[in-house]
Amino acid sequence: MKKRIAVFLILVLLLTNSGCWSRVEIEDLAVVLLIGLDKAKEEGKVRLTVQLARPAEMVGGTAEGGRSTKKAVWVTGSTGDSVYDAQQNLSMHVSREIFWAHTRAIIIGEELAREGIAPVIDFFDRRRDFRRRIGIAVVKGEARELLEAEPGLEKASGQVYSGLLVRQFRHSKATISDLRDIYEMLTSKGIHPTTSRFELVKLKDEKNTKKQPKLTGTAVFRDDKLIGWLDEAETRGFLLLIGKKVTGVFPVKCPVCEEKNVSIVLTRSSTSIKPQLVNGELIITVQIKAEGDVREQMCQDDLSRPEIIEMLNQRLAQAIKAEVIAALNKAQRNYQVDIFGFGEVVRRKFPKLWQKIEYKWDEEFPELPVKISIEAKIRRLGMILEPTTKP
Amino acid sequence: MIRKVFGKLISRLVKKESSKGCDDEAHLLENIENLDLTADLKANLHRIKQILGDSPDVVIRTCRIGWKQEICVAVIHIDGLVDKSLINEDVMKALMLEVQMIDRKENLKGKHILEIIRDSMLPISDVKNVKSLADFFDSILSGDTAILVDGSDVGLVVSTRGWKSRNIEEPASESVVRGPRDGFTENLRDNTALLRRRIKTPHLRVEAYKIGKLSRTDVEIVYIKGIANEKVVEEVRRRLRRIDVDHILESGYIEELIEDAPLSLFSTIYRTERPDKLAGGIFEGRVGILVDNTPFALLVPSIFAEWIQAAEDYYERYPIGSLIRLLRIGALLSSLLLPSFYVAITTYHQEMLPTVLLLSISAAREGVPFPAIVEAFIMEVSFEVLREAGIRLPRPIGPAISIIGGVIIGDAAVRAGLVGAPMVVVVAFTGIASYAISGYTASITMRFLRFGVMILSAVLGLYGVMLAVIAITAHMVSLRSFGVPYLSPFAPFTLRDLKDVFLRAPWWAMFKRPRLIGHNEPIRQDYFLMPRHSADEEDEPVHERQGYDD
Repeated sequence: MKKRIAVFLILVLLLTNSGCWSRVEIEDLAVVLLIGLDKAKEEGKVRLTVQLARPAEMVGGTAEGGRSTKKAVWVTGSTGDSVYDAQQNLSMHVSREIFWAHTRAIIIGEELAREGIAPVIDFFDRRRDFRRRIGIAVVKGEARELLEAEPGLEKASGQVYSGLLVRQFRHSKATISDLRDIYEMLTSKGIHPTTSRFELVKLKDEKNTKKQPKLTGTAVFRDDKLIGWLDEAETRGFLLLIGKKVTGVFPVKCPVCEEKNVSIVLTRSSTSIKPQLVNGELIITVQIKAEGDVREQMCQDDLSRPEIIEMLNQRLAQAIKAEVIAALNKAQRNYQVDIFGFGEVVRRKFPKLWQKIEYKWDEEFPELPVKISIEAKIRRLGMILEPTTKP
Repeated sequence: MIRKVFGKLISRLVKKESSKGCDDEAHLLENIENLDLTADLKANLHRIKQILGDSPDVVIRTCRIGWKQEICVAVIHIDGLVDKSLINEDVMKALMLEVQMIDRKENLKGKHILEIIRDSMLPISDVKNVKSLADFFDSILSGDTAILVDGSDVGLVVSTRGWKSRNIEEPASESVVRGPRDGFTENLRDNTALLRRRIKTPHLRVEAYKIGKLSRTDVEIVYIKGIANEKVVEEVRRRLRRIDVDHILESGYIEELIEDAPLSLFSTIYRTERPDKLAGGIFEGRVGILVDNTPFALLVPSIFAEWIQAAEDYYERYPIGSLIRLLRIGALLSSLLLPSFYVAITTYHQEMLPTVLLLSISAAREGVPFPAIVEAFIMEVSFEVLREAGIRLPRPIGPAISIIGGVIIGDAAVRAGLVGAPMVVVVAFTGIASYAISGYTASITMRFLRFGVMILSAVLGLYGVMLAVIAITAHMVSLRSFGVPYLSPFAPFTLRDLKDVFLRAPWWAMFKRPRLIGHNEPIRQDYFLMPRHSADEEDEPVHERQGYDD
């Protein structure tokens, strides 16, 4: 009998002593929507800025009584010797438990990024709170400013960033990388990291002089240090080259009148990157197959003729090639970093060769011959065959 | 272990309670089993009066019949239990007016007169001899009329039962949209008749028991011989025979006295007031237990899956029945787990919520004074109180109080900032979900368990919910109902029986009875019953099909 009771107690204690212990009531949480990291004014210190949601103001509507005049979010920050230190210091003036799991994105200021991001993102890798799918972006300027920017549509700019990142496929004029991508790219020697770039811009048609965040282009890193940017066209070429889905508009001149534009939207593209050894020399062959639809025709010419379509195909291929080459040139000539992951491809195909050239890949890359061939095809003309008005 | 402790405690209590007072009448009562009727009518009547006392509803009519020799006869019955017109028209008339039967012969002794009365005079079908006093009392107290003749130590019992009883109505606790509307009543004979109307096979067996030392309640077990497992029937008989209580007022008494797991929250005996449900079970090979004075019949063996089977599933077309059953499984789970999930996720696992939902719950809870678990308990308990009050209240004000309680108190509590609105939604949904389960007993069990799971979830988070689910499942696996594992067909797993658990297979696909219940005669029907066009049917004449009966 005594033995039975003992076994029973041991069983109960074993089962109940583990499990979840960190009980926090939901209303005691300060939900972080966005994190900004900047270089602090003091040497060697980090400034951490967080955007905290004010639940009642965020939800609005449902709360009884008069509308509060408080903003939906509270942007506050602290500095510390490390990110963790700064994070602890936050608790000195934030009255609730800081809750990281709902962070939408981590924004890193340009100055800090140029010094290297590896030291500051270790914190996010180590903690269980952060999802690996949250976006990471570099802002031209200070991250704090971006967090404080007042959003045009959303209640909190945290929602703006996630919305912009999700809708990148609408234009393909910016790169997006999440935490996991960055960790992967940092670990590998055959690729240098790239991620999204934010800019604060004054929108022309707004009377409001406040700046709005804009997702544009690509931030290029050498290892963990920011070294420069790709502009919008280069970004599109870059995305095509690495085989990401690109759905941008390519306006090409109409082959008949040579004056007005025909807008072609890429609907599908596939890229194959093949390393080859020709006479002991490494050559990269890139083959891009793209399909597009005609979405707009500003001239009045008849596009239904096959030879015209064929000419359009070639022009589309040229337009694509121009952007791809622009991206390639920027990486090889200006920045001299392999952001395309050619090194990775070589490692997979010629593992022994890679072992020999791994340490000097950064020197080899700028001289690497890259052959680009592009096949473009127009598939659909939309719901009309001919323009509605004849000249 | 628990059983032993309980057993000792109970037996100790019982010993203290037993009194030793024993007067003359009590003595007679105790010995009633061993007494027989005597040939002396006066002595018989004296003894009967002594035992029955001076009750005004006991009618003892003595009369003399016959012209040539006057023979003393007594007619005894209990007023109110008998059909008076039947006694007056048929019994008394026969005795008093049909005297030429007796006058035809001379020098008749009491015994012969009794035979003549029984064989030639009484125009009533159900007439029996009675010898012992115990049988005599059982009969007249059940509404029969006894005829005692001077000089005969055997009496006659004439079935004259007829008392006011409720009409057959729609069962209140299990109503259906489609399906038969009759329900069991308090009258046992009506109930067996309702069953007989559905089961016309001559193999239907009804076995009668009288249980309860004082109440002498009629209990009958019903099964189909050949289909029901004889071992289960024997087990039911054995368990019924060992019942030795002084009264049975409802089938719940029987249920508690014969169930397999008397200390479990789960009921291992199914109860219903629908004759079609009971008949359905009997057709599967189960044993029904009918108890007098209650419309609730019992059905054994019972499995957990029955909680999600409603009568209507079988009457609506099978896709509808199947979908509704899936819905009911969801309701069953949420009635057990939903508040715990809410508490666990909002206090431990906030990262699992979508951001906007997190913020809106957080906004609703700002200013709520209690932690989520206390809030949940307040709301759940008040819902239970409301529900209980709604049942006990006099019928006309019941719904009104429910509305006041549900709407006004719920809304007011949110406005006053005592509870958050999401919690009201959760509790209301849970409350409603618990009624989607078929069977009131099941929903009560779920409601009780819910509180335990809630405490665990508040202390240990989702891990606690998991622990609770594992503990409940382990307990359920250990249960058995008359030899059938409670969680079958999941454990032990029987693929073909799942056709009647998550889904309800069409009737033409239910070839076999449940494996563990109906294995005596596993095949229910033949295989090719799916309706087809008559043109297709010609290829395969009906009589050539392989049926079970061939």
